[in-house]
This record gives sequence, C-alpha cells and structure tokens, in this order.
Amino acid sequence: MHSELRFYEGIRDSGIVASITYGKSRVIFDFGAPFNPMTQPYDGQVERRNKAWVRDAIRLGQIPPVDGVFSARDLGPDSTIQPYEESDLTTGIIISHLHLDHMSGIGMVHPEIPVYMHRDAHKLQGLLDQIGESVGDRSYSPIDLYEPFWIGDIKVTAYFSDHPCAGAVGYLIEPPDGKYYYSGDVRMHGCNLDRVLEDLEKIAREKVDVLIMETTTFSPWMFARSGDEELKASLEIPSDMLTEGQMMDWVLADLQPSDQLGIFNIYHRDMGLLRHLIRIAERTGREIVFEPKTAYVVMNMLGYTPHIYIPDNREYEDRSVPYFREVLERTPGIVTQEEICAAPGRYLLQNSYENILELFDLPSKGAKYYHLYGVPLVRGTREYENMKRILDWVGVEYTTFANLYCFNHAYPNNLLYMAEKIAARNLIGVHSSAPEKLVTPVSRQVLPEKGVVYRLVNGELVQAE
Amino acid sequence: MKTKFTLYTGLYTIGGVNFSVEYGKDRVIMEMGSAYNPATDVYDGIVLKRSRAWVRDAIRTQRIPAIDGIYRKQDLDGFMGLVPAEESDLNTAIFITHLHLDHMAGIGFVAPQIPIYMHKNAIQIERALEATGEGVETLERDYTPFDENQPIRVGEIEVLPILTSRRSYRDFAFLITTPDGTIHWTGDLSLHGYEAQLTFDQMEFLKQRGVDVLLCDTCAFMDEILLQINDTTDPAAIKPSREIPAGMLDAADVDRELFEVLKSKKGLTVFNFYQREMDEAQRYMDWAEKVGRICVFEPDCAYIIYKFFGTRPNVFIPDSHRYPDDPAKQPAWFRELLENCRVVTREEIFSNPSGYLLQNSYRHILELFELPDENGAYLHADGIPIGAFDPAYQNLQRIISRTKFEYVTFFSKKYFGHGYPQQVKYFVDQVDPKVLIPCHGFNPERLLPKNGVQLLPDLGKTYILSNGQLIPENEYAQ
Repeated sequence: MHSELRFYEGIRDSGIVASITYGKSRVIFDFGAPFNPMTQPYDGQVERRNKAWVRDAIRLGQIPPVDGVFSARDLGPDSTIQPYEESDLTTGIIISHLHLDHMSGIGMVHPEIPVYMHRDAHKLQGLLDQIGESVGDRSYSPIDLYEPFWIGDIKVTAYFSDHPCAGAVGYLIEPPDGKYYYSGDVRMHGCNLDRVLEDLEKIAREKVDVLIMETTTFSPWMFARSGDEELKASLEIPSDMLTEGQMMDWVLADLQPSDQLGIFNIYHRDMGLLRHLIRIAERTGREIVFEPKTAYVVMNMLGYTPHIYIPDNREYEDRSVPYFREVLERTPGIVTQEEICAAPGRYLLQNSYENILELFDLPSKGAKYYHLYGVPLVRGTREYENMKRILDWVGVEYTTFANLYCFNHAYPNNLLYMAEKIAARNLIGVHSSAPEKLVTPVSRQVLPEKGVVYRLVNGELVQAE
Repeated sequence: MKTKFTLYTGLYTIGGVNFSVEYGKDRVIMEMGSAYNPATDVYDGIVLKRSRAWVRDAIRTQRIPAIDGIYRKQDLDGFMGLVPAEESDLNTAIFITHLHLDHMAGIGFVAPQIPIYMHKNAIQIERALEATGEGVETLERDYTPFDENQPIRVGEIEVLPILTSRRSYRDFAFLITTPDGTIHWTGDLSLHGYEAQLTFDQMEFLKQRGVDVLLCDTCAFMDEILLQINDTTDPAAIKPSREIPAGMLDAADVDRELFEVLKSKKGLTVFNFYQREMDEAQRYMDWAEKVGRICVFEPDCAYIIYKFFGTRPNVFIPDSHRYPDDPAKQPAWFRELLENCRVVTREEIFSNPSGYLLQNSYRHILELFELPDENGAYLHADGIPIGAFDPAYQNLQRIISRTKFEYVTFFSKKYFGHGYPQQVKYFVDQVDPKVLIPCHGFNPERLLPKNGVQLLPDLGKTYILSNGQLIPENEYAQ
C-alpha cells in the first residue's frame, strides 16, 4: 500500500486544500478559499443562502468538492459529491493557521470530522466566534507543537512557523510509508528567526520524503520587489525590504516626535503586530486604544487589558452581548471622541475599515495612519479605493508597508534556504502563481496538477495510473 | 421682501436635484434625493453606517444637501454651523415629484416636524417598502399627501402639482408661485411614454401661464444619447421637435419587443426589475397571463403589490435569513403576506418550469443555482445592478454565466427613459421661460433657450427673483 497525495486547490492560487490518504486514513491539510477580492460574489448586496450555503460555496469555487467531508443534508439530494455519511475513510483536517485562505471552509465540514489546530489558534478561533467572525457552528481540536497525534494510521506532528497569525504551524504528516512536510505559511523576517532555524534543523533530521512549501512571494503580483535580485538560498533580507522588527521601529521613529493622533488599521489575528503596537504606545507615552472586538482578542490572547473606543454604530448598541460585556467590565476605561480631540498626541488608536467613518469626527487631519495589514489590502479593489478616498478626504498622513516594503511571507531567497535546509527528496511549491520557481539542487521538483493523485513509491512521488 | 432661489445639488449629475424657493419666512424645498453613483458609494458592504452621526455623514458624503433648518439639532450637533430645524424661523415644506431614490432617498433624514409632501400612492409604496426594510433610512415620521392639480399653500408660496404620469406612485412636475413670479420644475421629463400627452398638456399650460424660471431635466443630453441621435454633441444640432427621433423607440415599442422575447422562451423565465415600479409589476402579471404562465414574486415585492393593488400575488420564498421558517421569528409583514398569499415552491417550479415567470432580485441571485435553468432565460429589466457603471454588474454576469440561464437585457440602445433631446428642446421652446436652468444631467449646458437666458447657477448660492430674472443675492443688494 502506498500513500497518496492529491491537491484540490492552492497549487497556483491561495486557498490550500490537499489530502494525504493511506488505506482508509486521510489527512486533509488546510481548508480555505482562494483570496480573490476582485471577484468576491458576496459583494455586500448578494446574500448568502441559509440552507444552501455549502452547496453554493462549492458552486462558487469557494471550497472544492471533496468527497466524504460534507454532510448529506448540506450537499442536497442531487449532489454528485459523496457525503460524509457514505464515506468509509477516517478523515481529519489539520489547519496551519487562521488566515481565511487556509481555513474559511472549516465550518462547512461535517461536525464528526475533527478539525485540528494549534492551541493558540484554537483559543483565537473561540474568541473570533464570539465577536462575529465565526466560520460555522462547530468545535475544533487543539494540538501542541511537537506532540504527535493520529488520524487513523497517519501520524501528525506540528512544528513552529513564524507567520504572524496566532498559532501558525507547519505539519509533519507520516503515513506508514513515508514522511511529508507541509510548511503552512512561513517567514524568516519575523521576530522569531531562532525558533524558525531550530525547527528547520528538527524537520531536516526527519529526512522528509515530500516537502510541500508555500511560495507566495514568487508571484510577482504579490511581491513588488520580486525578480530584481539574483535568487540564491540565503538568510538575507532582500535590499529595500524590511523585517517585521525594522518595520515597527520605523513606526516608532515616525510616531515618537509627532503630536498628532496615531491611527492603525490591523488584522487582529496577528498577535505579533499587536504586541509591537502596545510596546510602541508605551515607548511614545501614548495610550493605545482598541475597538471593542479587538480589545476582546487582546485581553484574552495577550493578557493585556487596553482602553477602548466605541465606534458609533449598531454593533455596539447592545451592551449585553457577552464579549462586549466582558470588555466593558475589564477595560480600564472608555476613551471618548472628545478626549481624543482634546489631546490627539496622547493616543494611538485602532481604526478598522468598517469603522473608517469615525475619522470624520476625530482629529484626522495630519494624523499618522499606519495601514498594518488590516483590510482592505488589495489595490484596485472597490474597498481599497474607497478607503483611500476617505483617507484623502480627512487628510491623514498615510503609511503602508504591505508588498512594497514588507510582506507576511518569506522572501524568495529565504524560501530557497528553507527548502535546501529540509532537503526533502521531493519538493513541491504551492500557494503561488509561480510555484515552478521553487527549485533547489538537493531535491527533485514535482509540479503536481490539481485533482491528480500522486503515490509515494520508494521515496519518489509518482503520478498514479 | 423678495423671492430667493438656491440650487443645492443636481446640476451636473443624474438626479439629486435639490433646490429651495423662499419668500419672507416661507420656504419650499423641491426633492430630497441624491445622485446615483454605486461605483463610489462610501457604503460598499463593509463600511458600517454610523448611528448618531447618520445625518452628518450623509451630508459629508453628499447623499443629502447641506440646508439650514431641516435637520434635527441632535443629529447636526453643530455640524457645519447649520441651523437646526428646531431653531429655524422658516415655515418650510418639502415636495417630492416621484418615488425614485435620486429624488427622495434623503427624506428620512429630515426632522419630522418638517412636512414632506408626496402623492398618496407614493406614500403607500414607501410605507410598504419601509415595512420590509427596503424603504429609506428614516425617523418615525408622517408624509403629507397631495392631490393632482390642487395647489398647496406654504404661507405666501403656492405649489401646484402637475400630473405627468398616472402610473404606480405617480409622477409630478411642480409650478411654484410667489408674489414675485413663477418657478417651474419638470421633475423627470418624458415625452415618449404612454402618457406623453400629460407632458404636452403641461407644456401648453405653462405656455399659457408664462414661466419666469424653468428647471428642466436634461438627462438625455449626455454624449452617448446625443451621438446616437445626431452624430454630434453640438447643441446647435438639436432641432426642436415634438416627434421621437428617427431610429429611437417609444415605451410601447419597447414593451412589444419585450413581450415577444417572453413569448419565445421555452423554459423558466426569471426577471429582475426595480421592484417599486408597480405598473411594471402589473405588466409582468398581465404578460404572464397572456402566455399562460404564473407570475411569482419575492416576498418583499409581493408585499408591495399586496398593499398597493390589494391583490394576492404568488410568492416564492428565497433561502434567506430574512424569511425564517419558524413563524415566531417571522417579521409581521412577512407573516401577513403568508397568511394572505399562495406560496409557490421550488418543487412546483421544477415540475413545470415553463409555467412560471419568476421575479429574482440581485440580492437573491444565488437562487438561480437551484432553479430549473434548462432553456431558462434571465430578463434583466432595470433591476440593480443596472449596468457596467455599477461594480456589481460584473458579479451578476459571472453568477449568471455559471448557470444555463440565457441573459437577456431589457436595456435597449434605441430607447432612453428620459425625454429625447429634440423633444426636450421643443418643450422648452414652447414654454419659453425667461430663465432656463437645465439640470439633472451630465451636460446641462447643451440645452439652450430660444429667447430667455440660460443660467447654470453656482451651487449653494442664493439668487433673487426680480422682474423675471435671477440675480445673485450679493449683486442684488448692491
């Protein structure tokens, strides 16, 4: 018997869904939708259907038609996809981290299929469920780094990844006939390079047969600086690019002398940046102020109880909502619009895109606005242009780092370094428009096709007949 | 005491005309709408509306005009130094020509003590829309009905509503008379609809009466219409004519073409229309009967039909959180609808697809995935997203392309809903005002008067009506 690898999604796109099957055991790794903001069907007008949401997600290409994963009820009587109830496989889904292109579909999975994620991610997902960012009503199974668990006959072990999302990991997946390593999303320019290098050594010692490695930065449209430098495996940071630490030092230096309001737009699943901002506020003598939802995440993930600012909208009219009640009970204080207007330089204030109109009534003219990976991220989308119009309108001093100066994925030379270090027999690049660029002298490159089954035969991945 | 005129918005935009006429302490405001521009709408589905700042934000984002004395003090909170309604010494009333959003989307922001006049049919439809959550954002307030051709006095100002369409919510033009003269607003002008004669009657009436200032809809003076008709955008080429330009269609021609399309379809036919247009709802019901189909509406639209016509339309219930199965969770309007109307199920439609003509709004477009699409047709008839200028239009096309429904647009390049340029010119020449203010179009400057002067007023600037002329207030004082 040979283990089999199959990609459903994510070779040349974001939104990885793939499986490794051995006999009746199956591990599915990641379960997210491709990130296509330009063609998002739910545009604020089209409504999600209630009973048909899973079928619609499959039809719309938001989740692939994987057999034995969805319930018969959700698939409907006319579906050609095998429902979970009729599958004889023992299936488990492992999630590398909580960015939506890796996990937006987990709420659609039959509740009896376990969905595993790192303990920190598990905790964060529980918080997200409370603040209206649930992806479905179901439970998840927490796992710890280096603690193996089994899905049928397949052993799985999580390793550290320095991707900014809380609880980001890669997985060593071991069916009885070989070893696969799925990197998840990786980065070598975060603040934890030592841990990355340490785990690279551990993974290398495992003598991996198949390395499945994200290659996001090989896509020129995702990484503005790609292609300018000769590609060689190295730990260097490409010229003109920043590490996360350098980026936040830049913010600190920019904000320190200013007496203007500091504003940040952040993705509140990324704990590292939140920690940085809390530190920057301390060092600049400012009060960091969060919107209630993010404050709830910060309080419970970081153990830090911040001041809050309550935006003027219906979301915050009902103070009996459990998470909001907890935030109100624990916060040391609510900072008002009047207080911020009276002393803008005393505050570093979160402003998420959904609440951008708050800037109309805040001392925004000349304020320092740091766009730190909060939505909207993609230039050219309706939302991004709308954000820019409003920011120009209110007159903030806008700074962004994404893509041009810093990126949340490892730079190409760093990816090569990691791949060479692990030195798997077979190397597969994924999660990119140019995975074929991931080539090393120590591994055999495999360029799989979507939907095709590959078998591990004598350490080589070959297409099944 | 002199008559003051101020145009706030709507000169170079499609819709959004708002102006005031003031005499002493009396004031009338015409319309309370905003120009339609979905591509740059601040509320893109992610940005949230604010609660306490709703009026201020609407003014900032130019959804409503910055006018003294019509918004509540608590909503303005000192914003822009605008005088709140509570502190205004003006006797103000607002008049709405018809129920299109570019003429009335902002009525809900107005302080409830300011009367808003609309025809009773328009009020009825707006109330039904509000019940289903489709109406304007609004405070609890009343609307004041008026009757056609019955003048309304606001102190020393008289407003005469002149009927321009008997259909549905009804359309009007307003003739405003003050002790200093007359100002006329055409509202949306059409001279090629089923009721064009009403507009020609209006023209004759104004011609006899004499008009000092005429504000006229110039929607059709944009490049793409003019080039189609005249091969040039030169205003000199617009020769006044009562007739429909050669090669262009009137409303009846378009309807005939559409009916032929419907007759030719063999499978389920769905249609997407502007669901407040009750005359069109009636047209679909009539057509369905003629071709032996059952016409079925989504609940929101069915409720308007139920309230407006007092009939019991067939209802299809989309799979949405809006329409819960549990009666205890159903909103009152939906329960009332279900108690009084027949529900057509998906299974019934599958059993006889060609037996149905089914409304499908963009919001519920994913229903197409689970409707019989073999030989099916999707008739796009002015329902949003109307055209490529709306970012949602591409999404609609993508979703339809995932089904077998044939996309058929009801938009005809040979038809335009507003008056054709030659006809509008004819109308204006016949009325022959002393001052012509072309507005409600991208190129108002192209409508030239025969004898009077063309005025493209500075927005927000006050003019004095004196001896049939509009003179800037600062110059008049000198």
